[in-house]
Amino acid sequence: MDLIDPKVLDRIGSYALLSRSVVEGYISGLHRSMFHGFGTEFVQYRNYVPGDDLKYLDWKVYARTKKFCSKVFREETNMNCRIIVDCSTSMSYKGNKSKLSKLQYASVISACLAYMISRQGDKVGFYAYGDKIQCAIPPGSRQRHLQEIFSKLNTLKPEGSGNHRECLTKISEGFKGRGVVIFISDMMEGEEEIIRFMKSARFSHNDCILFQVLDNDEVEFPFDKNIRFVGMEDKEELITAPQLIRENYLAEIGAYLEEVKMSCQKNGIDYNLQNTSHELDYVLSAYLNRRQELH
Amino acid sequence: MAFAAPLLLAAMAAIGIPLFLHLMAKDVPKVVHFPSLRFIKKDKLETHSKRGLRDLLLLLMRCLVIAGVVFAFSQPFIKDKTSALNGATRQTVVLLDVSSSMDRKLVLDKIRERLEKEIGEGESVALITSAASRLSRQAFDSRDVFFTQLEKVKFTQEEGHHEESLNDAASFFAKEASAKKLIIVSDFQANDWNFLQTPQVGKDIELKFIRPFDKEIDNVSVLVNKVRRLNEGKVVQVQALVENHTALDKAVDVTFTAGIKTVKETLNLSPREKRRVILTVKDAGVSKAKVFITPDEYPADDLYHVWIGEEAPQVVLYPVEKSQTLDYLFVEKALHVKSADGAFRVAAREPSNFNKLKLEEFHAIILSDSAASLNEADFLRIKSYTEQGGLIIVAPGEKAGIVFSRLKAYGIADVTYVETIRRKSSVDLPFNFSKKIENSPLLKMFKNTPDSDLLNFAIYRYNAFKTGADAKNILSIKAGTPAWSLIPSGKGHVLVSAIPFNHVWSDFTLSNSFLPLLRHSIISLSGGASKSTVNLKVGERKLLAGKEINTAKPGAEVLSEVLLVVNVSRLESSVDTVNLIDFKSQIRASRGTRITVTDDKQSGDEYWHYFMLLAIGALLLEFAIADLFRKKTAQ
Repeated sequence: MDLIDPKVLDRIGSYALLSRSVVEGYISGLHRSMFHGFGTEFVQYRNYVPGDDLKYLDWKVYARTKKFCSKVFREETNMNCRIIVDCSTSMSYKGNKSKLSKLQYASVISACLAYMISRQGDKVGFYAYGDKIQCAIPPGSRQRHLQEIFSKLNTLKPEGSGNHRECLTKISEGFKGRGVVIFISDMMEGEEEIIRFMKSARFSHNDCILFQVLDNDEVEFPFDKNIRFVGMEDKEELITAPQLIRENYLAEIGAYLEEVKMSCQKNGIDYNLQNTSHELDYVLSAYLNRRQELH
Repeated sequence: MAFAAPLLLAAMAAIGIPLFLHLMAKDVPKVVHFPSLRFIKKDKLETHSKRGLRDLLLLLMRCLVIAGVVFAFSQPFIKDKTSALNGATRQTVVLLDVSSSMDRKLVLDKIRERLEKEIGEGESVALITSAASRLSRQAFDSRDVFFTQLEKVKFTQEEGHHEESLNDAASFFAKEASAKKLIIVSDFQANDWNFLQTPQVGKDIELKFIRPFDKEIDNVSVLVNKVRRLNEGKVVQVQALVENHTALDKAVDVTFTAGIKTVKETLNLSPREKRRVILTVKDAGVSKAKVFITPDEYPADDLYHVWIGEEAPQVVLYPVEKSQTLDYLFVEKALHVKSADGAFRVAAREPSNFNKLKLEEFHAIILSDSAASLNEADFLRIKSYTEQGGLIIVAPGEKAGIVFSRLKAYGIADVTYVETIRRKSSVDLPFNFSKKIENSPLLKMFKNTPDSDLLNFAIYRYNAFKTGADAKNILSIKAGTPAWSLIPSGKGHVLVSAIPFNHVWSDFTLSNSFLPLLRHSIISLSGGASKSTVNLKVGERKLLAGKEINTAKPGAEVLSEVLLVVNVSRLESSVDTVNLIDFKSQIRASRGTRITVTDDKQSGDEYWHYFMLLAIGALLLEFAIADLFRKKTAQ
């Protein structure tokens, strides 16, 4: 599979991924550092105190006001961005209207974001898990690092019902410093563990973004005739006439999605619902637009 | 059970359609591996077994609908077990008219006598009785059983209509019979056998018509016009009108019985002749008398005409307000006088109640000044009354301008009020009638009456009026000034008088001419006395003048002590009987065939409507089941 659709990259290439919060970094970059004093972005003036570097004195201000003021700058750094993909079996669902399964869709999102982050000079890490951790690539910025992520994305396989608690605990153990955590899942199982993990990451001053990926069938339930539904994770079976239960189903899933959204808002997690039948480029560009407007 | 249209049963194959659809629709559920079933509430699920039950019930109902419709159209019936016609070689069907006109003395004996000549030994015979519709249908193995049953036949008081029965009779024969004979026994009144669609009787059926009594005997009627008691009641005299309704010469015995005395007169009547006969019984000394013409031969559906008094009274409507009674008094007095030219009754009614009256019950309406109080609707009703042949006599006084203008405005009569002319002083000569039209039917009575004072009385005031071209001035006051004018209005007439009926305007009401002129005008222009009679069928009972009219036995009863005259006439006799030759050719050649004897349809009770009801019921049940399951699932 061609993970990075040229069309997608064409649409999102002009956007820079801007972190909403301050991140630590070793390398000055586009992202605001929590450290003031060095850097190029002017923040404010403050009264000169003896010992300050004279090169930061603003002589134009002195000429106008006869007061010594030092300029304060904010340092710009790069960031660590970690992308986590849920590879439980339910992510393998692909409806008739969709071109990609949820997992494939999540992979494309991951690839696009990794490419974009890497191009900015930031570090990107990638994690995937089902019953167990399938892939754990810590943040890095080299070109080969990105290639490794792409390679792993191609080998992702849906498995199990998602051992969220254990896997996320292991993944979070490798987290160092602040950054951006991007979680991609359908949230069909283990939503409490996922929210708890994101909440923990948020507590560690990470900027958290949650992509909930759902198929159009799950959102609109467009089935008719008699259907034997088989649960992909629990293998439970039900025979029903979907047209008779559609109204009830839509009400149930609507309430659930609203609950997830409210939970994300409450914990400062940027929530984004993605429908796999929608064009990916449009979704990403719309999301990044929104992110940029926040800064 | 058999079917009249068994080929239609092939349509039962249509049951395969819902069956096929059911099997096709009985799909194996498509398997969908769905991410999570947590949002599908299990208690809302339609279970497979529930669906199966619903589908089976719906399938059953749909099959029943189709089966019901197919059965209904196939016309199922159960063969009549009483029918002995099947398989017999010689078959006879007797269609017996049992309508009221057949109910005569010894008629069954006469029928039996005729039928014995027509029905041979060993034949199977069916008897169908018919009046307003088919009453019974029975088949008998032998002629003896048939004749036994024939004696039990009861005649009805219904009018006859035999289309259904003739159809039934024509289709009652078995196909394999070698000889078929249809005998119709009736008096063949044209009304009874006049069909909208004549049934066809196949040429393999021999047709026989039997009229059990002579056609002519019932076609004479008697009407008693007048009853007089002379010589202090010792002599009773009746004047009767005897009418021959037939197209043949008739010799009729008219019998008049009063007490123990009887007078009989034989009349030889030519076709359609009416003749008056006066019969007198001397020393009768009784108060009852009866006139009849061979009364046993009167059929039961004859009509009596009953009225009170020696003469059928003519009823005159006089709209009058209580305050204006002078004109009314003169009119009432004139019409209540007993005379030989007719009986009258004046009905005085308030103009405010005019709209509640049935105008068609009155022979004439007299409009005086009180007519000015009538409203637009009343005048429109008067117009309708004259258009249908009614007579209006208009004699207003002070309010002539209003009355005349309304008559003209509502199109009742083309009459225009000009002015009221008065005698200026006592020196002036009074006006009087100056001219009469000799050929006027109203004035015939004065032609040979030299002592008539029609032209001699004084008129002090009169209303000058003009009439249209179609008016005929019967009397004038002077040239160009009509006094009595007859104006045609629709089928009726409007008689306009220049002077009201009181002594203030003229001496006309005091003259000898007033009474005959008014009475004769009404008699000659009002259209007869039939409106004041009551029609009763023979056998019908009714109280009139406190006495019950006995019509059980036909005849004209004269009860002179209460002036009640009961007459009997033979209205239906004026209707001809059918021409049997034409009738025969008609039912042989009819193209309006509904049932022919070549049909294989057997007799028996039909059940198609039960199957149609079954189909409709199943259809409704199907809707109900579908709706029930839908609602249950939606809950």
